Amino acid sequence: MSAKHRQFFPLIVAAILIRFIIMPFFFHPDIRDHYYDGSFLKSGIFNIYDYLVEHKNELSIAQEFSYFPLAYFSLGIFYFAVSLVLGSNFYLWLTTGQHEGEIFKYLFFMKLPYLFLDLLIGLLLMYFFDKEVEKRRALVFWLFNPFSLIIIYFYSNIDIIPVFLTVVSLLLIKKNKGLLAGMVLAVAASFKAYPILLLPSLFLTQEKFYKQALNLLVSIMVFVLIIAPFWGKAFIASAFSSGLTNRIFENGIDIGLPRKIPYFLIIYLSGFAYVYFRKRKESWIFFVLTTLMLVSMVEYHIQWLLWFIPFLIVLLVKYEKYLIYALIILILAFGYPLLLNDRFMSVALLSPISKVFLQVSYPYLFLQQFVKPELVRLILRILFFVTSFFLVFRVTLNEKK
Amino acid sequence: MKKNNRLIIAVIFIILLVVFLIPSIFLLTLDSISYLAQPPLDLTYDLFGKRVVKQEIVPSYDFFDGIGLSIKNPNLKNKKDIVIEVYREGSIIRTSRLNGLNIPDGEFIKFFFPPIENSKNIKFEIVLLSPESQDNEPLGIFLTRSKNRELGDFFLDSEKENTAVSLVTFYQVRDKIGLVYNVYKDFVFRFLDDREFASFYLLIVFVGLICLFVI
Repeated sequence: MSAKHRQFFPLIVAAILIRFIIMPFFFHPDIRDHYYDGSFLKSGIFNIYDYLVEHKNELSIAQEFSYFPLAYFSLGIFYFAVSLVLGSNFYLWLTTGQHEGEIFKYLFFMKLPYLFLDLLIGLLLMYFFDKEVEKRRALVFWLFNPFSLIIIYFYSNIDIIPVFLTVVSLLLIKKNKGLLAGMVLAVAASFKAYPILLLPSLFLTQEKFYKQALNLLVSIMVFVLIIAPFWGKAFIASAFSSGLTNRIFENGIDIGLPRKIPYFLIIYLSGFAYVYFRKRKESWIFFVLTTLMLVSMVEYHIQWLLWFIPFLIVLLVKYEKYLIYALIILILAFGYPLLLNDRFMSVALLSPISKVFLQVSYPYLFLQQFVKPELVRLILRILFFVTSFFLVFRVTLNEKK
Repeated sequence: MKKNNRLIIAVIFIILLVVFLIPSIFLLTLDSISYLAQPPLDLTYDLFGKRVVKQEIVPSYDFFDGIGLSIKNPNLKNKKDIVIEVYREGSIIRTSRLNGLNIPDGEFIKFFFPPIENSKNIKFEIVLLSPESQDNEPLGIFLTRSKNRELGDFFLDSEKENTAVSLVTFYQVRDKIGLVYNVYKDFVFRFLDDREFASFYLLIVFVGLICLFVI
């Protein structure tokens, strides 16, 4: 290992240590549900959507699988790997809650794949920059910001996988490997739909226009090929139930068409056009613009905040003066889901430490004594959007160097 | 040890303090606490008019001050009172009532009453009534087939049944600092209970810390 790289070693060890310390003690029911879904792959079930609908009445936990197909296969692989270490009690815990005494072990091993991807994102962000000082800053911002740490290890959703892939694609676009970047984005979109919106970034490489168009076409084909075997009633009802598309179309201009023209689409397309026609096309700006504006303009889940954090870090490494804006954005963005009437958004996450935390008053109930939490949430969301828009606007229009 | 590493270790400790100690402040807000999980909700019994549900319980602790149970009330249709009476040796010693308006369908509802000081290992009878409710607006009391250690015999209109009301007991928190202490003490014991994992986990954390000091 060269001396240059050795300087990052203590940072990485410290980051792993913090994560190890946190991993076994925070539990959100989503991680258990996801691993339960993944367990079907071990039994040879290929189309999870049809299977869950057809066997609804026979399953101990009846639910839909609301992600795209590759999420199921990844969870299946994670389940397989983790169950090799944890044994058969693990499956009993997933389905019946028995063997609760081993929950610390289960949580630790269930989160290991997320830790791996988390560290890889840090390294990719580091390789995005050329100067040593920028590399170090990117690594520190990613590994030691409490926001991504909380999203990944407290709520433990699968968003880390598409986020990792979008970071890979940004790096590939920077290296003008449009075809590979597009294919990676198509794979990312086969976990969760939002990376589709990043596909226009293929036109920000320095390749010829026809090549860029071909890259886009191939990427779309890859996405269609992955999704096609699953397409059907059950898939549409399950995978589209979280409704990102519906949420995008919720707020927009009504000009008498069957659907409104979404405000997000207007900002997104104008933003892309501006970045595209600039002399210096910087794909990372388009990634920040798309992910940040998307999340701030729809009713989001807390794990969606992870979609933009790596790109916000790229922005902060380039322009450290926006650090305070980024902090405000993240605090506002966290406040909104934290005030949901759901105890598992806050103190109940500590239920592995003690079930008493399930009885503790959580922020929604606490706030309810003084003011309507819904009103506070609405204000937070508006402020989140305004600050995000202001930041994106300033960076896109003013930072030309 | 380099200055930078000391800073990193300081950051680790600050994060740990924030993550593990701030939630303990929330524990201080608890006035009443349940120590058992609610038994599974297996079936319901419609409570209305002259129907009486009687459940014997033996609390495990002193200062018994409430019970929590799940009740069906579709579309908040029932707007009548449900009454809980607590009997000891045939005499009524506590009552608590709630209106159906405050009972959302299927919610876990808590009934509180002044604490009973010497309640540990004493047999009590809990009686549930809703005399004003009609048969078209019953309150569905959730029952369970898996009794916990505190649940005794169960009677529906004086007939003994094999099931039980799916309820949990609550106890007044007398010593809040003691509660925080007990929660974390219990956590440490439970963690160490899985010896294999605890040894592995503490070893890797220890090795990580050593690495930080050495490099």
